[in-house]
Amino acid sequence: MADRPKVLVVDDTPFHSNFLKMYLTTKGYQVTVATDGVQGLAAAKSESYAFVFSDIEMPNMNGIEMLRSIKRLPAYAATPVIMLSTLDDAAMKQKADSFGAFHYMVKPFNSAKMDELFAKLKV
Amino acid sequence: MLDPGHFEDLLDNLERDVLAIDRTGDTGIVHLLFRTIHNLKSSSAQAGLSALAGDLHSLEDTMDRVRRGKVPWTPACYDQVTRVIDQVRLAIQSENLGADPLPPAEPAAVEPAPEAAMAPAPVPEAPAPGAGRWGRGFSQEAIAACQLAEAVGLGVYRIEKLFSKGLDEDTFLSLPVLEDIRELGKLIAFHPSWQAYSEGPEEQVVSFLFTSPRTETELACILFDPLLVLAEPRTGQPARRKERLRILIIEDDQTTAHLMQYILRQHGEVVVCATAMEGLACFHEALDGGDRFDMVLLDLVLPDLHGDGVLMEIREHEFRLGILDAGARCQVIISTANGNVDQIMLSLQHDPDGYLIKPVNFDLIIEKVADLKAQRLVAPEPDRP
Repeated sequence: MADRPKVLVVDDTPFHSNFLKMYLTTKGYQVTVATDGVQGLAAAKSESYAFVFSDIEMPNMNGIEMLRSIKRLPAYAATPVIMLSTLDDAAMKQKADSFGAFHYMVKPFNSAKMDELFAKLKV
Repeated sequence: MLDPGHFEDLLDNLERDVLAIDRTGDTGIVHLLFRTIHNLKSSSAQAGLSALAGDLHSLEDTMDRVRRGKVPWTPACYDQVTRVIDQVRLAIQSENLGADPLPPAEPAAVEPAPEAAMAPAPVPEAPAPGAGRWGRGFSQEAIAACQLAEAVGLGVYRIEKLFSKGLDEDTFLSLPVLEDIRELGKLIAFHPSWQAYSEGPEEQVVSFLFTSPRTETELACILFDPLLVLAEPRTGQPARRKERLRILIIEDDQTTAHLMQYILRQHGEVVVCATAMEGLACFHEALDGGDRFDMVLLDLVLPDLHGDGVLMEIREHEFRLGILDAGARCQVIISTANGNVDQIMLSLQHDPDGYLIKPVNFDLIIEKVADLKAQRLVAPEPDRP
């Protein structure tokens, strides 16, 4: 059990973080949930995660700010960070890309989107 | 997938906040409304209520424009929110009763409030009671700082950001939004103070008031939260409006530097620095002061720091300020002696705009300067023969 890879999920909506936690747990991951960017960044600094899922619209520190902060940590330079948003917006996708996001997923989640993501992650 | 309790909680928040705006006129509360509508939208989409999610998306778009100061809060906004609350309740009841998904909504219910969402404001936005032009709750000292900044041509901006309770002071004061503001300009004040925030309600909006020579477009490259323009910067004008070019020569060989200066001073203001550190200080001072250099002629071999490091620092500083467009950024031309071509190849990874091999062919520089004058000056002066 100790060898299960760890994944960080950052979302202030329990509905979404619960879904991701359930999905990722069944895939064999050990999931940590944070509810804003401040908590997410603190978790990323204290643990090593295989990849990170983050919502964008969050209080205190939004997902874009957290993405930038995480990508400045040398340990996370190559870690895939998947941004989650209900907004299918080209400018927002470009912003996430420019700050080093691995993937931009438009909510709602479904298995096809998650399969596509995991194919891209090659895990 | 539908959790009625979750929806009811969100609807209660929505009702509370829309009534509070109606009662107090405090449009800062619209950030809370936006957040709740955003959560309702994503929960609806996840629960398969796509028609409802579409209506909430329209409402979210309206609230986003209100919170970004693009349109005012009007009675139509209030009506739009309350209509959507009714729609959501209807949808929850339908789901709970096992009925068909949301019955076709009445036309009035699905129409976004067009005058608020789409059209320009019919009347200028009336400030909320107690709110001045610069925002609610700021001290006279902060307001005087805004007025001074506007008088000298700086932009004055306000970011309104949603916070939940519980951050300690060190964390609060080192948040990216504050670091970004300090990097891009000067923070004047934020309201409420940390003390008031820490003793305040579970969710609240904090306003950050700051000045910057940058334009809204430049700031938006870096900042994410709603940015309200309170005064447009005069110094952060697009490069095209400049009266003259500014050229920085970073070169330790006096003969070359003097020759470059002699030739280029016909085409603009020329500043010469003999070391990397002096050159970088000059570059930063000009950029932060809003009168940036258009071109840097950079020798790669300098006494204190390799020119490669100078180029990297220039590019990073421009990136931090949101100057990403190749047409707007400083044109950096690197130069070195004949035997150092390998160094030029290495420096290419930091994205210079051109390179020269000494002895310098001035025709190439003049050609570049002529291009810049055509791109950036108000009316390009005819080149002297």
